[in-house]
Amino acid sequence: MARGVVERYVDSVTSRTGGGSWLTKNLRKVFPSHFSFLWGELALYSLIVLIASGTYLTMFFEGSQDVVTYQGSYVPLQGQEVSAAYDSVMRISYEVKGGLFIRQMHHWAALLFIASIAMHMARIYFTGAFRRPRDINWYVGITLLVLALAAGFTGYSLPDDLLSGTGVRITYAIILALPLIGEQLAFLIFGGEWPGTDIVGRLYPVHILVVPALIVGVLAVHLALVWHQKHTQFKGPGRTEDNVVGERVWPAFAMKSIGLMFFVAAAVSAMAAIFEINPIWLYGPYDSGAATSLSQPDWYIGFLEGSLRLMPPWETRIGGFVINNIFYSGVVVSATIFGGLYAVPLIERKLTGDNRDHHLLDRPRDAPWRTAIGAASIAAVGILFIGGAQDVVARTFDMPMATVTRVLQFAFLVVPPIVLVLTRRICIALRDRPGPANSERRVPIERSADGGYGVASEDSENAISEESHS
Amino acid sequence: MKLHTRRWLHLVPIAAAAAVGFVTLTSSASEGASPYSAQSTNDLGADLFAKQCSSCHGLDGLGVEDRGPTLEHEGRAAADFVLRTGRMPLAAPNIQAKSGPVRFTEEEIVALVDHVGSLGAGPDIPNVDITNADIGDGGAVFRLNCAACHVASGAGTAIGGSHRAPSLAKATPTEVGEAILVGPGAMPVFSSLTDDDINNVAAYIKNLQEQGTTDALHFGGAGPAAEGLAAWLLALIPLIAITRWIGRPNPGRDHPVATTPSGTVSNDSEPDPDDH
Repeated sequence: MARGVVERYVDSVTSRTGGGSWLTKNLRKVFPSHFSFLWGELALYSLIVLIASGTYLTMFFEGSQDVVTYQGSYVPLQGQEVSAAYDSVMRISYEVKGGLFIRQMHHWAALLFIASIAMHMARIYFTGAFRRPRDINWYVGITLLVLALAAGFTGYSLPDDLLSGTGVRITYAIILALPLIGEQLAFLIFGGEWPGTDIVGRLYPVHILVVPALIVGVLAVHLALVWHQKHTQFKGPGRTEDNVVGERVWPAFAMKSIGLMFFVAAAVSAMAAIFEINPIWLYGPYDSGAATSLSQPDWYIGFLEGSLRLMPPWETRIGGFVINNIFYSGVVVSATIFGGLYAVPLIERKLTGDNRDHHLLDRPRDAPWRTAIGAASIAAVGILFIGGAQDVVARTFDMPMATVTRVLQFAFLVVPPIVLVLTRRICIALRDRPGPANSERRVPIERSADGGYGVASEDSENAISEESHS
Repeated sequence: MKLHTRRWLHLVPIAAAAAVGFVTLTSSASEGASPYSAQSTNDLGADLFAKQCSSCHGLDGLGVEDRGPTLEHEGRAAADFVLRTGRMPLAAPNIQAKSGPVRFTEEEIVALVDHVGSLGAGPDIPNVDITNADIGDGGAVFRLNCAACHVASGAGTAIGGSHRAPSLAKATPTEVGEAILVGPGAMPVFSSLTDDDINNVAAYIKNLQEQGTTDALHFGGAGPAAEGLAAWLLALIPLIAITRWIGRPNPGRDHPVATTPSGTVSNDSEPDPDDH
């Protein structure tokens, strides 16, 4: 019934606009279903929550470091001198109707956004979906990840509280550590010496205009490529390199996807309603003389924080320029990680010599080397993430911080090779394990007229294989 | 087998209590007749000090090498702080004192504090009054001086070396004042803070406690690392479970067996071979 109404509506529009066949064709498009194919959509719907909540926040946020006296309703800060940016975020949190809820939604959605991107990226990697012809979309996707990190970082820096100021301070140091151009670049970006009075006002348009516009633009390309190149599918009965087996966009896939959107919005709302996030009233306004322990970036910058904390204090001088550990940990490590991510399709092509198009996905065990390298990389980056919170680890497990740091430094060198070897062995063992060749195959069962059950007749079995060979 | 283990486990605290009791009894028996107890004007304090403190701090309170520091200039403030928070007596020398159960009665604490105060010139117990304090200024003092170790939320954390800045969740205003004056453990003496500063910062810490900044609902006041973990565990993983449900295989559509009715979707018009 509902379908009929929608179809009539579509007809009434397309008969006037002439887009009928195009629209009908696209509504009839087939998407394969697998739960891991929905993780990119988790990111997409987090982004929608981000844009909606962020729009509300822009109505009240002031991107300025002008000094004002706080006179809001949070007693412990009354009469303190704060920046206009901090003051406006305090107003959002304490006076604006729904402000704290929306602000917390925005922050939780940002954490979820990048977490879903990470899961989505892992799924693409471990199933080999980045291979030709979709290598082009892998590059687009990694660009989206970089943009998402940029959006997160600039947003984290806006409230001008003690945590965000500490984060920006570290960024200033990383820029300074660039050889040759560091000092000039830092002065250019910050408008002078730290802390200056410009950086919040400069990050604000980047956060609400430049980066979101780039994200939306690149995301459009990302989705258009998925649409045009068609979605990959796992191997299975009836599925070949030349077909797509699944559900049509309308109504099945669209309904599922819209349902997922509401689940994402619900999850973010629940987090925002139940859990406090980034209590800037505790951290207080940024003051270059103040500091707090347990100051971490949001989780997704944790790898960078970890490489800063775990890097030994190496320092070399080359032709009058100091190359210090901040350069290695801040610049070299992040360049290696993102360079490595961009190079994934290239490396795989070089190692396997496989230059063909692939539309069927591998299970992770089908490509032991790829899976092992991926797992080892995750282990290495994971140790960096733990290193970024090494004080939290020391606090939680009541261990000396120096011990935790030293253990993590060695773990960074030792654990990834172990993970590499173990993962590869597990993959090979799973792939080659004895047993029925088609252990995953489903056996159709028929119910007979008198209520009994039995295996479907031989004829229908033959019919499957015929279809799959066509 | 299970039952045996449980029975055995029940015996552990009893055995431990018996051992502690035995040690306490024998040690008090051997030191009870200490000839030094009469040297102090305060008999109870000196007696307790000789029994409970002297093995590390010396009978004269001037410290024992490799075991405990001199208490000559610690003053009543330090003694009051370590005794009322259960930091002393220590379980073993040369470890960081941690707050725990208070080991002495009120009368004993007063006596010991007086005894330590009589050893030499040291700070007296401060009279911290938070009734008219300025919480705002206290917050500024806290962020500039205290948060670097005790965390903006007052949750405390591991700091350099193997030291640990304790949580302030249960610190009373007097204890805050004493710690600022005495600098217990790795904490420096904040001699630049005025009496007003101390009142203000104690009021601010009281405010943090009333806000419950170190509660579980605030992730223990542990900041963005805990928030990130929460985003993964409480938001992303449930959502992935939901995708598992929404994206579950549909035998009719996803496994186009020959017996399925015409509703099966397979291949249809796409992809065009030249579409790739």
